[in-house]
Amino acid sequence: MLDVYQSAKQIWTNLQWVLQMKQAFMEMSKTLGEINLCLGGSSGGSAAVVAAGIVPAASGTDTGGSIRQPASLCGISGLKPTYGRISRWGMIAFASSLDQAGPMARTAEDCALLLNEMCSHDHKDTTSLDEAIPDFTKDLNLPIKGLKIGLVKEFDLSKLDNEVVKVFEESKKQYESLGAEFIDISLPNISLSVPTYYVVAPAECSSNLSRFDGVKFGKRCDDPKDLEELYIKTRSEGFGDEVKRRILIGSYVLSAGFYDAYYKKAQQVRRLIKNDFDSAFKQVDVIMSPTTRGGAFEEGSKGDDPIQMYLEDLFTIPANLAGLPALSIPNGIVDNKPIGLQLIGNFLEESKLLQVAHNFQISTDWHKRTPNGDVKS
Amino acid sequence: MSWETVIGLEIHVQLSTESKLFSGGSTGFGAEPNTHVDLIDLGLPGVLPVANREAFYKAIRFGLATNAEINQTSTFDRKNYFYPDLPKGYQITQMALPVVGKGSIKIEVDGEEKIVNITRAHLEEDAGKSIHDLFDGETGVDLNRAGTPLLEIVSEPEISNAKEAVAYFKAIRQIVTFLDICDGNMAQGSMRCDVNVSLKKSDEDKLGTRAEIKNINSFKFIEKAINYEIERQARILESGESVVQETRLYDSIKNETRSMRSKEEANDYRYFPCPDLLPVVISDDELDEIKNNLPELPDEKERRFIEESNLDVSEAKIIASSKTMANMFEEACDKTDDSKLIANWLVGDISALLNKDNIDLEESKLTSSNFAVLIERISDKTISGKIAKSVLEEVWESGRNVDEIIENKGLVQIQDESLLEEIALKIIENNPSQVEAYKSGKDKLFGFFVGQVMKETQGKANPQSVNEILRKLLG
Repeated sequence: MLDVYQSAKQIWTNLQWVLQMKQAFMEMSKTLGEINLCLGGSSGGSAAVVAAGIVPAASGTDTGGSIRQPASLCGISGLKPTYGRISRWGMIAFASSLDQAGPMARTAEDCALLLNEMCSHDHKDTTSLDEAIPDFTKDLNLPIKGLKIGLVKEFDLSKLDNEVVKVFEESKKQYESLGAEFIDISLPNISLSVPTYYVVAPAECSSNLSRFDGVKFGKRCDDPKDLEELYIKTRSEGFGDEVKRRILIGSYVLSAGFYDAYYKKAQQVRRLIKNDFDSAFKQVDVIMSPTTRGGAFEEGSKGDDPIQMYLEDLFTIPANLAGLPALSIPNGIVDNKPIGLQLIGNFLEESKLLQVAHNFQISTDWHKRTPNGDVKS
Repeated sequence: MSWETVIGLEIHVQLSTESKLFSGGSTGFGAEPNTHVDLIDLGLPGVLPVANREAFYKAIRFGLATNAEINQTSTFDRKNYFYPDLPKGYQITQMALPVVGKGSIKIEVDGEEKIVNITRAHLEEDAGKSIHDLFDGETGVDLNRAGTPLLEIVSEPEISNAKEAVAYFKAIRQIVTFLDICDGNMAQGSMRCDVNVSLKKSDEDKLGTRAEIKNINSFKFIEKAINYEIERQARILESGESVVQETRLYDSIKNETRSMRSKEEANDYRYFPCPDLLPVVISDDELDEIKNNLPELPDEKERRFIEESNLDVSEAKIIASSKTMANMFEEACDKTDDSKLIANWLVGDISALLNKDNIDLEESKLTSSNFAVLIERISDKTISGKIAKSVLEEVWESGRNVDEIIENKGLVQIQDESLLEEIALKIIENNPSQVEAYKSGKDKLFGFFVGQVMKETQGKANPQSVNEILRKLLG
């Protein structure tokens, strides 16, 4: 397993993931029957290669849902661990206080195996946690009778597609049959997650991406006439629209006169969201929600409105803001497209999350199905 | 109209740690360009900084020595701007919560003491160097210095003229060298400062608009740049116009300051807490350890030299003011008991040579061990004080070993009294008229006989013995 992780990490550091992703899309096209589906999030390549059966497991990184969303859309399992569980050394930083690596695999059990190899305290990353690392496979088969699962009142599922809601209700029933109990909880500040995230993440991103300036490594524009043009042309040519948008937002919220109103305020709200989770976990063991609002959508189908795109992250973002572990497992297929179930755990409780997911997977076969409903061997 | 000058200094002190502030890269000076650069200094994607605790210990030593508040929990922020010698596109610094808070330092100008308050001292990483003149039409970047730990010491705007500014800078330099946290080498850029100058009407409290003069690295230039700036601003204000808030550069060749960028062109640094670094917490034990091992400071040394070594206040002040000279004094005291003799040489001949060459003691070729040997040879009467002066001059020029010079040049003092008596008798015999005159009351001629003996012995005779022998023989 270690080798798989190391080589996966190597792929990232060598920046060959673009290539991997293209290949993965071609394989996926055989599976999904369509090529133009957006696989969601930045670890879509990893999700696709796992879904296509090219590799048994892959690493991914998750800043606002980039492990869980593609896992959900590709019908695989993916875990974002507690912030600091896995060293960020070697990961290209997007938003340092939110970025976290994690395992992606067909099953929660495989995720646990890979997680065992990925976790460590790393003196090269001061934000990595110096906490005991359990064997994440140890508790997988323990029954979950009496488990308390929280349902977030503020997540208004009535706005989702009926079929998607139906899938979610089915999963609830499944857990009830396993002996779990559902409790309604309130996370009063959760609705502020998306705006908070879209202040904090762009702010950090605008600074983290400054090093891609054409001076030392990577792309440099042709024939700049002076230093300023070197910066402007290199960065204009090198970054895509969405990245530019985030750099602009990030620079704006950090600028003199706006810092207090945006960045500082967002950090305060972030603390409130974390506090909401702290009180919720006094009542429940895990929190359950859909991972995404629906299945994979066609590229460009959400129009040009980035806000609509950002709202897709509603369910996944809170775990990043609070630094909590969260995973997604496949729990249904709607219109030939896989969808996923998200479970959020308390600080450092990856073992419990994986146990809850594994119990679902040994009693269902969604993780074995292809999008057209066939059960794979 | 009379104008009052208000000056504040930001001094960047390069801390003498082995490795950089956030990486294991070496801080050594003078290496081939871009050889002291590791992945972190280069700002490669995927690398992360780890704070160097030794830099914190050194910063805290400074805080303790200036009676400052020590923030046992301090944090790092990012200062964002683009420049080729700034590999990450941001500098990691301590904006919100610096390791050292409010403190103060005593300065002395023309015998008058004054306390200058220090606002804060924070840790930050240095940038690399842009080299503009080596490559035709292109700029080179040397990242050896990138990531080197700096302590930025910010004074309150309480300095009233160029002389005080220089005295303040000197006091800071003295304290950081005594604390062994910086080598104080200004030529190599180990200490640089930014000077903020503004003028206000004497009867008004409100500060005037300031100009900041960047990156000055010598006492002389600090004084000249400030004086130029005072005149420039006074001229502007006298003519009824207003000073523009801007950053200026001092040109030492033309002796003038020039505008670098105005407030409007100034960067918005978009400071925010660095998400890669957790707050650094210094424990009570660590703080105690630093306190207990704080090196002796100039004031304490001065007091000890007066009390234990019986030096005059003026001698003690001069010797304690330089760490190198204080070390030299103490090393020589270990060899001989004659602290007065040692002080005389340091305050007299050696200070004179330093003044003549306009250098600091650590720049000279005289080592403290060589000086101790010189003192020992005077004290054990191997050489006379006069010969010692010529030996010192030789050491000053060549840096050679004192014993070697004495032996090679045959300078060993003649102690043999019978030999000296023989020489003295010969001289008395050869100069009957002088003997006559001396005996008839011309006392001054005694010196003539001493001189003759010295001449005969090429200065190697022990003068005390010569005196005794001549008195005996001449009656």
